[in-house]
Amino acid sequence: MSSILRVEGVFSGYGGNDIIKGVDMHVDEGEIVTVIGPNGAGKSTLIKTIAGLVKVREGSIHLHNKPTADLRASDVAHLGMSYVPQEGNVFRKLSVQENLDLGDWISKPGKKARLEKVYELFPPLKERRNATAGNLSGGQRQMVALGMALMADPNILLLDEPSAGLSPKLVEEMFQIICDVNSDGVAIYMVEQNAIQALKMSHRGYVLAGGQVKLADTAEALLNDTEVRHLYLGVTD
Amino acid sequence: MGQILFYGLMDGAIIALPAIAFTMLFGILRFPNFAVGTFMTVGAFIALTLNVTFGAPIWVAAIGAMAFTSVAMWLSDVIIFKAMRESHSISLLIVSIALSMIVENIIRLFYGNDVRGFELPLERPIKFAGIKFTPDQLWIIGTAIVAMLLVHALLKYTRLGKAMRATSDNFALAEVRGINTNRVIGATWLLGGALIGLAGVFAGVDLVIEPQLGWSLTIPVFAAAILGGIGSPYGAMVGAVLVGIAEELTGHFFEPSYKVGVGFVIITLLLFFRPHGLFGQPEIKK
Repeated sequence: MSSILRVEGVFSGYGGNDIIKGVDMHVDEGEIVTVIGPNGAGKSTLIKTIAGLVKVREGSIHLHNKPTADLRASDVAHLGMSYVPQEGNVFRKLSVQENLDLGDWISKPGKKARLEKVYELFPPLKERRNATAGNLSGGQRQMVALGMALMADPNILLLDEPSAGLSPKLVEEMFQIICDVNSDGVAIYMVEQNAIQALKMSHRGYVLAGGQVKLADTAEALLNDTEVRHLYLGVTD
Repeated sequence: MGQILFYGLMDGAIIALPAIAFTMLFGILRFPNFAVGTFMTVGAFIALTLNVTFGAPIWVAAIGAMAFTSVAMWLSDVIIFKAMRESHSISLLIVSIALSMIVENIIRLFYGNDVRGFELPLERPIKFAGIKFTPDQLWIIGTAIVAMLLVHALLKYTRLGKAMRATSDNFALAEVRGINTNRVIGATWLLGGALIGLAGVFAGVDLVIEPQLGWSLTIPVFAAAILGGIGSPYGAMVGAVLVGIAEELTGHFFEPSYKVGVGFVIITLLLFFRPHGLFGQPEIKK
């Protein structure tokens, strides 16, 4: 198995402070990898660093064996990575259709089929294709955000809290869709608050705390680890 | 009344293009660029040189002014603003005020303080439906409309225009989707500079050319952009016409010298009652 994404000894942060302090991790082809950890652990900073929005101070990141630590986020996107931020993940003033078109900015061939596919995954978007994205409900905005990322035909998706702000039923649906996307061969790296649900559908997981990887194991092992259950999954048994 | 509306339209045609440039630059860089007025002055003086010194017809001079102002504004970004991307918008505003003073004095250095004008063939005013106007004025309004239609076509139908709208809407997301926002910023400065240079020529035709030409237009330009909803190019177009008409009505019913205050009054009223302007969307605060 070869790694799509390899993060080695990465330090990064804002201003003068390092938030990420020497992280090693990797995502293999076809995998779903979930990162869990307490608030302030640096989960969002790490995902932004991988996406190219936060500068890498030290260490290296490789995407398909190409070093990306010094690249702009737009260049990383051209290498097949699609990142969905937790907040501000749609173009609010543009229509749903325009948002999805922008998802295809890199313009790989086969746009039409991908658009069909996105509308198939998210039927409400087809009905509201001309609506302004900012006027949609939270759930529908999340669909636009994920749909936009899929329009780029990525081989790895970076998802920051894909279930944030969704109703329990929609959370369920969103996770199902993520699984479907994964079974089409797209590797998934995600950060989730719904840690138990997320780990259940994942192959492997990382526990991040204080900007460092505390534990790395299969998702199943993490779910069964007493300490992880107590400290990070909020289970009292 | 028709006459007043016509003059209002005329004022609107002069401030519309810089208002569009101002609002687009704000949308992407998130700071109010005070130097907009001064770069109009730059455009007027470059056109003056081409027209009076070199004898070029005014439309050739206008194209030269657009090209020069475009590059000058882009250079202001490369030399000054680029290094300050992470700075607070107020710092950038102050820097842009300083820049406008520097540029104004460079103009004085080359041209002195004299009041000048283009060499245009004298034309008799035409009277139509009770409204008196000169062919020059019609040209200005017509050219402004064409320029606005071109901006519209650019934003709506071209890849660059879509990138501009996306970047203005959500800078980080545009970058993440693969848009090189650095190039979008550069293109916006170039486009904004061209619009501002052209408007400087309009102002030079309609008013007189002197180093402070742009100063009196800066506030109406701000007012038009804010009235239309900052960041919205279409709002700026409508805002410009409304500000122009408000100015002329004020001049007619009160005194022409009050015209300069109209922009301030509009800005003040908006900040009280509708801070996001007529067509802007309220900022979402978390």
